[in-house]
Amino acid sequence: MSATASLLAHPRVGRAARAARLRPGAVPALVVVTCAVLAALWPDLLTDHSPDTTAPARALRPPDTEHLFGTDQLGRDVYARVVYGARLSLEIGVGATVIGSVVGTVIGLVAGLGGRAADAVSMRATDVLTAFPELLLALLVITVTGPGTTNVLVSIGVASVPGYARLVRSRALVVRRADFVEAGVALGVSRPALVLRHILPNTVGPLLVLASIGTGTAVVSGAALSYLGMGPRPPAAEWGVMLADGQDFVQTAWWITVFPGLAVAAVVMAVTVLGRTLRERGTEATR
Amino acid sequence: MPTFAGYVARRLLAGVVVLWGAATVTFVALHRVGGDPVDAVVGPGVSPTPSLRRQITEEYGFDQPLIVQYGRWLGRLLGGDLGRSYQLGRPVSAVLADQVRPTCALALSAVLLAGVLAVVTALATAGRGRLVRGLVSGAELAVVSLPSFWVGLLALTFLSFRWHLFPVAGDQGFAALVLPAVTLALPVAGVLAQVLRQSLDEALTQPFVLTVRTRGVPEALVLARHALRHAAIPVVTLAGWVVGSLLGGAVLIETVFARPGLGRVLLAAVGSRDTPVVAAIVLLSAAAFTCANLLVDLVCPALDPRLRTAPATRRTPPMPVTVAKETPA
Amino acid sequence: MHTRSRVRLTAGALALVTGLVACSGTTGGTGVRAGDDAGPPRDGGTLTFATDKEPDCYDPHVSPADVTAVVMRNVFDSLVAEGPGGTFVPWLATSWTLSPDGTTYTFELRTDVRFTDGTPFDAEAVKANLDHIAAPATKSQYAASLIGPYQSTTVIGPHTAQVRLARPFAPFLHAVGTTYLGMHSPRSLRTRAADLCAGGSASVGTGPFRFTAHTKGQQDEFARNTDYAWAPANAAHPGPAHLDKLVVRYLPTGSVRVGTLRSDQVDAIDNVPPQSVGVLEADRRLRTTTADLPGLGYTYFLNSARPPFDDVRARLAVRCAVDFKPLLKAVFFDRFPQAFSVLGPSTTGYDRTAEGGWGYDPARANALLDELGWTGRDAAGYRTRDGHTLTVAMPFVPEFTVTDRRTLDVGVQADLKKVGIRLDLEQSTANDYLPRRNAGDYDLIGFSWGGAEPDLLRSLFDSEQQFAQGGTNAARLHDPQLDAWLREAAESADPELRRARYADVQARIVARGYALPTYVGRRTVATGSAVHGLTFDANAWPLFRDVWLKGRG
Repeated sequence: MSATASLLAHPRVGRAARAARLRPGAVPALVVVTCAVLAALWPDLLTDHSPDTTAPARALRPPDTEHLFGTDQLGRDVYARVVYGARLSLEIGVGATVIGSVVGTVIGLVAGLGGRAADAVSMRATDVLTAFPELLLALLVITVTGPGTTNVLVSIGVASVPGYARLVRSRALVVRRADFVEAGVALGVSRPALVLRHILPNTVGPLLVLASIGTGTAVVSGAALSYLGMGPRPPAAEWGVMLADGQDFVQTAWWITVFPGLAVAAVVMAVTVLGRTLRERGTEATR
Repeated sequence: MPTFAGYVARRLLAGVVVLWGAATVTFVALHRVGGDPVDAVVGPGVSPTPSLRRQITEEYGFDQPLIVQYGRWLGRLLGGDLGRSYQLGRPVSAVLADQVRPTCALALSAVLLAGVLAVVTALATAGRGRLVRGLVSGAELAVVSLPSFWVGLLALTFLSFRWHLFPVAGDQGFAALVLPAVTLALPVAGVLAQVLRQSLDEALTQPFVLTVRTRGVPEALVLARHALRHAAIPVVTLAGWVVGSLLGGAVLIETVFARPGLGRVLLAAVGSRDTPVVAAIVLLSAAAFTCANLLVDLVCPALDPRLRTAPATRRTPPMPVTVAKETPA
Repeated sequence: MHTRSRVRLTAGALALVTGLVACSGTTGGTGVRAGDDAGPPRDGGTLTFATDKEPDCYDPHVSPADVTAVVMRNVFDSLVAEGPGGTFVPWLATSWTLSPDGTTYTFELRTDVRFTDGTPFDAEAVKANLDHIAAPATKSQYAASLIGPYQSTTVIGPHTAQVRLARPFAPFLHAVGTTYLGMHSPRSLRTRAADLCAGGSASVGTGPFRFTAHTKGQQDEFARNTDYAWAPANAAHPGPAHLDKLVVRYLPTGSVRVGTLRSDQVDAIDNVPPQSVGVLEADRRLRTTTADLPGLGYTYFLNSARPPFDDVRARLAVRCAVDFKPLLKAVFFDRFPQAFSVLGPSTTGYDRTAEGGWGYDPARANALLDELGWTGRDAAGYRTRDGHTLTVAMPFVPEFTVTDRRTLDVGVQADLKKVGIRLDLEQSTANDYLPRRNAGDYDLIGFSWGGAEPDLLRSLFDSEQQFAQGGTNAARLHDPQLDAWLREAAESADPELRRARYADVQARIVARGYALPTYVGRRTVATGSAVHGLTFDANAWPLFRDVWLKGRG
């Protein structure tokens, strides 16, 4: 945090932040997200240790200069595991969001652009999906597919479909009734073509906002499902798995549990803050 | 008021349709589970003799065509029969009977707590300076973002085991309910507080508030009596979402705190592929969600007379909190 | 901690048996522990005991779970009780005889025993129970296999029952002594057969406690049977239990059990996680009691029916490659010693001479693999031969395993990598795993199997006990020498001959590398200092009949 503060204090960065009208938390959020993405793509940039190399002789060391976050039961470096864990956790978060938003967009477009029947059917289907609490729907999917990273990703994605479907549908309905669309139709342009041309650009903004916040939620849900034993299994470095692994040590070796939990919290907060910033800028732009 | 009665009837019908859809989705999903359901009945690792296999197949009707099984299942559901647990060999309703109370106790205390927390923080910060609001919204962001099971784990370790402040682990009366309920309530409270604060701010700019103020009503009373009532509506529409997130959260909280309840039964059933139990619990929560939304649709017109003319415009987004209230209008 | 791999054994296949009522491992003597100077036992009080797993089914005739046997031991008595080293003492039966051909047991029963519903215990009750176990409708997952060659029971007199077997079966008495063959009230069997799995008031036995309340996901409650006067001959006292009430709580997470004990929320906890044993031992307000778990400890079975483990050299290379000492220290904090035989030291017939007989020898592992032609190396450092990487697959089902063992697996994986073997730990669902396992589509799998009777080795290594046949021959062996020894021992009534054969079997399994033993599992129970008289039976199951509380009431 102090690093962020000094970063903000830098005159040029501060000015840039003000110029970009960022929320007060936006810069640290950007830093956290950048680090997480770096960790997911090039973990070796952030650590020299391997997440899987065991060293029983160095087990359960508290944090020190060599092992920033200490070591776990098999002597693996917790910091390295948190860094390498970013990949699986973000994979679940981003993957679920992509599934949810793509499927949701298709359903939303069908509902918004199709006839009354298409709208009624797809919206009732969405209502049905909505009726299941998200985590329970994910568990239902996992009952069918069995545990595993991909299955967790898909189950969270499925559970998030209705939110995106509603958003896209509502935008589609608004644009469809807009004057310029009516005018275009009068001029002989096909309605779907017109609508698509106008809906997509009009929807990308809000969709992006929803997706960025949804990614945060999906990361937490993914960690929760992994914690419950539905996700990737040890020795995979994944934050939820690390939390589950560490919980028997929480009284003797807190660092195994605390750091992955902090990582989840930091990423989720950062993504949420960025989403809000996006939304605020969106509303300002439209004013 | 025939139009209102008609509206109620339409909402009820929609609720029934949604529940039927949910039941169908559940049935179809669980029949996509690979393997022979007999294996789920006899348990993992057990290889049943052919005669036992036949016996179980006939007992549960696994040899019937899927559509017949579906019809029977739906028929039994209508009669309130949730089927028989594969793993426990007992009626699902008997398995769940003991588990409803602890989960409800947890969820109700969490919702009460969340409501109180939300109202208190919203009232305390409405119209305040940037610093207070910044701090509070930061705190809200934090409680919404922290994984609740992780918070619960740390609370359990330090507040209960280390400092002996609360007994936990199990359903041992009120004291043991405190930590799980707080853990479950925090993220919900964070969202409710955000929504309430926004709509309170909005309410304070309304003309009627100005009217009340000019009558010399004290500011506290303006907030508590007039603005709050107006601001409550967006919060009430979140009821369905609250029910869903409490039931989902209960799965995690019951696991962390080793409490009995529907969530733990569900987890065990998912692990052993005890599909009748999974179906029953998932359907129960869908029913709870649908009922909550139905209530909202009926209560909101009562709260705000203006809504009586144009009801059913709100639907709660299904997504977790953040999304629910972040959805751009 | 001690999860029995829940594999059903076909009728006649086996007697994986477990013993009763005697102490084992590091605890000595029944009743009040040696060195326990707490004074004479006193009656009264409630003991709350927290264990990890909750029974799925409370009928031991049906359930194969350890925890069912532990919990229901308080309710159900058996005909005989097992002492150390496979000896038996009277319990509900005062004496028994075996016919010369080894197929007929005649039990003389006590005449003063009543079930807690008032029904007298007699030869009809014995017949009703054994027939209940054998009846297909019971869907017994374990007990029926324990009395494999059971044919029928004949009521010779009111208190004389004769049990006929299809062939001689040495492990029979051992089976009779377990909770799995505990005695239900015939009235319950008749009128409440459908509720037996649910526990609670349907479970009626002659035991020292009555099952008074059951709250799923939470706890079970038991109240003292005040009429009890028929404890087994090796109990500390014959009369009613000292405790007024016993509460068994189910707390799956180890750290939570430890936390509740240290913050006085429970009186005793089961299966203390190894990393917490030291902390609890250092706590002067607490006491810990430990027993070695008998039976097959956590063991890797190498699939000898397909390459690479169809060659003894490949199997031995694995054995030489794993450095168990540091690994066990890290995973189990030195609480579990290395195992050198597939059987645990507290199992009847354990071969002590195997100890220290093999160990870490990476040079030999590398030499053996070189000899097999795995001389190339791929980019990741794994050995290759003709362009193929030396990869072995170990499928597992997360729900049926313990975290510590997963950690151990990961440690083994790291050690194997050092000699160039790539071990893939493949997570599966039960639905995918079972067909795969039954078809032999794996290179190794790991599990443990509790029980004090060495005949369990037959279900694990006899060539007629393949998975597809309902057995558990996980190494997929067809070794005529092992078959001959195992079958001879199963039918012999001569303890010395059995002991010698089982020693031969254990030596051969290790020498041929069929299976790789890992550690000796131990059960540690920790109690508050007020708790006295806690003992273990032959299966390392805690017994509550003789437990009493000091200074409370």
